[in-house]
Amino acid sequence: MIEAKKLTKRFDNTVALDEISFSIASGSVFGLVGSNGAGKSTFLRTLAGIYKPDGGEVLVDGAASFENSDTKSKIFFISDYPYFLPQATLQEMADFFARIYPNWSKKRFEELCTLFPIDKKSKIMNMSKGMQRQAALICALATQPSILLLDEIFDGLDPVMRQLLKRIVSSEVAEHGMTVVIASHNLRELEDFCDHVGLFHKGGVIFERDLDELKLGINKVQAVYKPMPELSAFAPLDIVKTEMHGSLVNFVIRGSKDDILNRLNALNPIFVEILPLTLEEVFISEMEVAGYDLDNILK
Amino acid sequence: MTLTTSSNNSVKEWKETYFWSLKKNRGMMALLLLLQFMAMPLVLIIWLSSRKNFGPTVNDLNHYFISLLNTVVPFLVTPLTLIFVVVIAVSLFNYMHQKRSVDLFHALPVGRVPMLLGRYCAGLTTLFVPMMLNFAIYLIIGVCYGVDLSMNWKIVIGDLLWLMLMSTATLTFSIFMAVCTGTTFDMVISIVGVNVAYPLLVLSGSMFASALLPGLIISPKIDSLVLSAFAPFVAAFMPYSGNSSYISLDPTAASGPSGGFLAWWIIFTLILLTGSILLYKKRKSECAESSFAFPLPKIVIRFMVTAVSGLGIGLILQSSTQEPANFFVGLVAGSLAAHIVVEAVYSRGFKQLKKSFLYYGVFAAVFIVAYAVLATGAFGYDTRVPNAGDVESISIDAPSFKYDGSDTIYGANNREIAKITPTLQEKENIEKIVALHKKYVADKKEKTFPYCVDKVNSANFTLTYKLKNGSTMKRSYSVYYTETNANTPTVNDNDMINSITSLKEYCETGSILFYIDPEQIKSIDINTKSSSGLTLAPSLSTKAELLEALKQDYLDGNINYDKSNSDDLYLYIEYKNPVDLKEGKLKTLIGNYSGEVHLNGSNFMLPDNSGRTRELIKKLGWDK
Repeated sequence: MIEAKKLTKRFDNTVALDEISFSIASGSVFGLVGSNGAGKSTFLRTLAGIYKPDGGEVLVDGAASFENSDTKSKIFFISDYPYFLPQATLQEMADFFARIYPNWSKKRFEELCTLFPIDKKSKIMNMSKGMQRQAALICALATQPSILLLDEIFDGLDPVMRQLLKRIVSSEVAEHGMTVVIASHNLRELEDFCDHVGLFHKGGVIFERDLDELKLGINKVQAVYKPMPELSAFAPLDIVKTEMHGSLVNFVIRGSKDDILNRLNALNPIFVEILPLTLEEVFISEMEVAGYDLDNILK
Repeated sequence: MTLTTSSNNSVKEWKETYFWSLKKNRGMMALLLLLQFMAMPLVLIIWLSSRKNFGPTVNDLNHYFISLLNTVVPFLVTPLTLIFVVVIAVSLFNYMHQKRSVDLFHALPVGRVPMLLGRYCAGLTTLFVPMMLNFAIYLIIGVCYGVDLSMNWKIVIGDLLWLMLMSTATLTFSIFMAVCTGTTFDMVISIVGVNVAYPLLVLSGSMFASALLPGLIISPKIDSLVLSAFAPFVAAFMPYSGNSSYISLDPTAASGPSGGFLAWWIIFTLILLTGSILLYKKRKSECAESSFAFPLPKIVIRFMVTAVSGLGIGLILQSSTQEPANFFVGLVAGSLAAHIVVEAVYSRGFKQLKKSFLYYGVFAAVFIVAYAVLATGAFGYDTRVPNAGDVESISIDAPSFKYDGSDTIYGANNREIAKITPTLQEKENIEKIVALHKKYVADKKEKTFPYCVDKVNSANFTLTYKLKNGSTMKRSYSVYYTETNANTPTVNDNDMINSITSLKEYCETGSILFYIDPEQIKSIDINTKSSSGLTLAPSLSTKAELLEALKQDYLDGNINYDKSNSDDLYLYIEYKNPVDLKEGKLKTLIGNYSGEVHLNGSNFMLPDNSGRTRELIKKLGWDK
């Protein structure tokens, strides 16, 4: 169980995390999404014990991670630009981590090396970005962490490797109850990988919710009205976004499907349909509500 | 229970960090081993092999063995080791200076203290193992070639221990800078900055104060602690730069760093290590790649460099133009330029320059206060002269034209045990000196107050008052020489100096002639400018006669006088070393010392006049 309680982190005059509070249940795959500079990486680094909170706390099973080796031994963090020892090969990195992480499994390391197409004896610095991420992931999983923190892990991975990564990590979650916290802008990948998401913006958490619940609670609606009712007629609905093109109107509306359909049908549409909303669309809609949309940016 | 577990974890984390870091540095260790081998044992083998053909005695071999050590350690091994200290410190601690590596290392389940100490100990091992091996090989080679190590081993081990201590101090200092800085570049320039700026600041500050405040002359000795107290890379060379050039474990040896010097470096190293640990625990990971994690070193270094440049250029301009106003021109120009350069280097540009002038203001304020205090006599320091009734004795260090080369008394191993210094104890003389001194300072104040920066002169006239309450008071003055004759002080100083140096008590306490007995004279050499020497071993009565004649001529001012003529006679007295001590002035001078006493020979110039010594030499027929 990961708990952030009024967690605050500042860099000089910038507040990167502003008293955020939420929790992540054990054994879940939690996606951190948000605008650039929202505080996702800062949250991961604070959780990994790299940064010391300036206020509040972040607890892993009730204990803070900063300067706590016992807690840190359960966590593995892969940063957005993973670092490897100068001139090191994957085997040398494995030797390094094996000394330090108490749950290091040589067997698991060898297994993972057979799954990923990577040469243990090649220098990592000479590998591509994607290969380097694979190397980092092999090391991470061989430490058998309880919590795996991934920052933009999909960057540079080809589609096959992305699927492999998701499959391996998912099996770790299923078999060993590992908790995964993953920050990414690649919402398509997160969509079928995470069970929870948290939306960060300007150092705060706009929401944190079960992904299915989130998708069920927000809907994209397409309807045709002739004549088009006054906009005030739609006021009882919790509309996030409206786009009108003649008699066609597109809404993003919060609420249950049945309730929305009942209310729209009451206005006698020629046609009304509820469409599935992707995570990316949810993200854009919610960010628009938070004032982070193109119109606002281009003003 | 929790404490025990935590402690066990820390030890395990330290152990893992140590062995991993050591493994990472094994190549560096091998390279240092090789280079030190080439600098020490290999050179010894070549040197002794080449000398073997000349059939050297054991003494010769001992001499070669130690003199080579005294050459290669300060000139090759120490610089090489110090370069490796920086390289090793960078390789072990630059992880703090990159955001990516911080992400890796600070996320590891290793506490910061074991991480720092594990790497620190690995660094020390990397330095110590090659050193110890090479010094051991050096000793073994010495034995193989027949060097007598019964005494020499102490010098070799002394050098090794000193090098180990200073390697530890410099590595700790480098780590302290690594913790305080945000980039490796800043770390390295901070190491260089402190080690260059601090000794220069001590020197320029001393010169500035000496040039401004009458009575104060500070001349830090090249091997003094204060000159390198915060500059370990400089301090590593200090014991080799003084009067003696080797270090020994033998406490009676004349050379090597003093106990205070050693104690300071042990204590300072511990302070630096403790400071590094405490600061590293507080260090924010996000400081990586910013210029400083803790700004204090930057502030201190900028202050030192600003002050050094300002004072240095000010003093150079003043002394080259003899115009006091130029001191201020140099001060402002030098300090401003240095401040801007340091700021630009540390901030990688001029964005912070405006803000940084606040710190320049601090320097300016410190300088103004210091100048005001010194220029107004430092709260009466300039005119403070004790009352004659409070003075027990006065030791005098005056420009001497009667120097005979025997003012230092040596013990075993060439260690200095006492110095013959003219000292006045007679009430009349004390009153006279005090009166002269009071008049001198009053004149000086009347003519030059408020004081301004004056020419810095290395020749000093020093009066050291030993007061009846047990304390001492020292006043030193620069002696001004005219341009036409460098040996003739200007009138003002000349009056006081002549009045003092012509006192009978001054002469009788200031020359070896009044401390020795005829039995202690071994031989006498007589030379003229044109002829080769004559060595004599006269009878005891003749020696006594000669000594009495020399004493009288000394008191009359007929010996070592500054005028030189074509038929001057040069007399050299060699003493029987070790000197057979009897009750008398010499024994009183050396106090409780009970070992061997050695004296250097004395040189006397006997000018062309009717002195008693010339008469005696003529009577004895030694001038033919």
